[in-house]
Amino acid sequence: MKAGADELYCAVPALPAYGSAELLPDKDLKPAIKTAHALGVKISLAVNSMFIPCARAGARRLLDRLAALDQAGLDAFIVSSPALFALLKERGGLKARLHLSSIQPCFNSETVKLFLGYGVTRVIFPNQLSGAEAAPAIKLCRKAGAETEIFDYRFFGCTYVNGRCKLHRPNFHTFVKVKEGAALCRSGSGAWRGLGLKSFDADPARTGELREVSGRVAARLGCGGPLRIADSGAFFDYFSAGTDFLKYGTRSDPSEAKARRVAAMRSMIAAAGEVSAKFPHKKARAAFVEKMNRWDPHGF
Amino acid sequence: MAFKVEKAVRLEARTGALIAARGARLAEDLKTFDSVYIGAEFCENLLPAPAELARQAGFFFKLGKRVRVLTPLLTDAGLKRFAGCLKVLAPLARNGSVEVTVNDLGAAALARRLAPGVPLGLGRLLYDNVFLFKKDILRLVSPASLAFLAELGVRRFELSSAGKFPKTNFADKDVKPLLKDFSLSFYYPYLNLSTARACLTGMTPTPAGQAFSGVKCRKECFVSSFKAAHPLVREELLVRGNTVFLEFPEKFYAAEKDLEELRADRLVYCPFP
Repeated sequence: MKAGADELYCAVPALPAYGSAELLPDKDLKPAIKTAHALGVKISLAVNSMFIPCARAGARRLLDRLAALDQAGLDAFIVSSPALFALLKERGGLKARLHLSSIQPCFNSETVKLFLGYGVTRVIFPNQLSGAEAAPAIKLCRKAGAETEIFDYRFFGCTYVNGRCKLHRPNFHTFVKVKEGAALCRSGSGAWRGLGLKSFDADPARTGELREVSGRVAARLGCGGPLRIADSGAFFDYFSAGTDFLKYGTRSDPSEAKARRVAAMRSMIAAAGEVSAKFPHKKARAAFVEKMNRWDPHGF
Repeated sequence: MAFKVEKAVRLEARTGALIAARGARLAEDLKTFDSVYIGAEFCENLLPAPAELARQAGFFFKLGKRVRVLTPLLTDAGLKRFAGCLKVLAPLARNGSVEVTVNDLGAAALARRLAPGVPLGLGRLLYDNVFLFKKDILRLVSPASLAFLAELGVRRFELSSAGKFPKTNFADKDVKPLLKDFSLSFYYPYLNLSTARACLTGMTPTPAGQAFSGVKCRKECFVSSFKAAHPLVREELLVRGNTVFLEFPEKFYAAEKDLEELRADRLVYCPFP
């Protein structure tokens, strides 16, 4: 909080969430809600697994647990599965707000409209969508009174589409070393040596481009992902379009690291505000990008 | 009514080039297929303009084929193009002649609104909304999603073959009635593992000191596809454009009647990833 966070979010192992949950057993979440509120901040819970219990009884138990947390004053649920949106809509009556998780990636205004109809009050955009591309969806959210949120490009994010990636879970393939394999698609997770690449199905009319394209595929498949869309320019475009929240997305990081990074996020927001107040948009964007190029990731 | 399996072929974004190269000879190439998948499954830059889509559809209608149109994840710019495509497809959709497969829920909502008569399928990027799918397991896990998707007009789910006949829960007494209004398609032999917005084959890196300023597509995905032996993965990975695939050439069923158990009334052959 001292580093400048306005909100907290978490997940609990007892409820279906994407990725590894931070270790709060369900019974301990109520005190966490009280503590957060005593500090004057909101607290959200990620229940953003795509897999919602099949049997009706399981779904009912899940809804009862969410209702109990709602009663305890939880501020928002972060949801991705259409099943849970449909169940919550059918049940009705929750006080907590609903955030559309980036695991159900929203790339356009029609997706915004669809989920607004299911009670969504905040859209969390995936970091595979640039700020310029998201502008119409942000405009629609603002018009509808819904909030928008993005992840800090420096501290979080895969380049493959959120919630649609099967690279890091060996459901169809097998890893040589499971631990390393899980990082296969993580951006910047390491340069894997020894990638063997063979061209097939090549267009004879474009053989002149083959070497360059092969090099690109080898680098991107071998080093943890394709070109990043989320960067300082994309952040500035989101900021200029009026995005409301910037999120630090790695729940499993130690608290000290989180605090350092939250402070860095605050500085970045302040810097975007300063250049925007000083220059017209195009010049402000360039100045901001230049400033962020000088940002030193050392120690983060 | 006897169970019948539709045989489809996915030509996808190469359709225009194949029509240009093969012309009337495509009739012979496609004689074993009932329908043809056109459009673009994974990348909005490859989605044809409405007039081109109508031209391609018309070509296959003349060959007596039904047309299935694939659509990818779409930004607002892509949605605009898709809206144009729906306008040309809607009048052509009669007796199952045209179907659209969406890989974006916003696209499904748009299709429902602009072309309610066009049957909708949920594509290979979206099956997690409904199923848990692993090598040899396919389970309906989120039945409440079915109502959500039915409201959008979705009646078909599309998946890839993983080379094995999957164990399902489709015969369970609480699942069977839920699936009665839905059908499945299985694509083979390539299974999509992951898709990026930015391309693996294209889009030159952002110059040092600059920021990403938009997609500059030169259709590098058509230069070549690639097979990759990755040091962390035992199986060979395949790359085409912005998507990584695995290949499962094994036939996953003994006889077509086995597919009825899977509610799979369509098989989609993909000659390339």
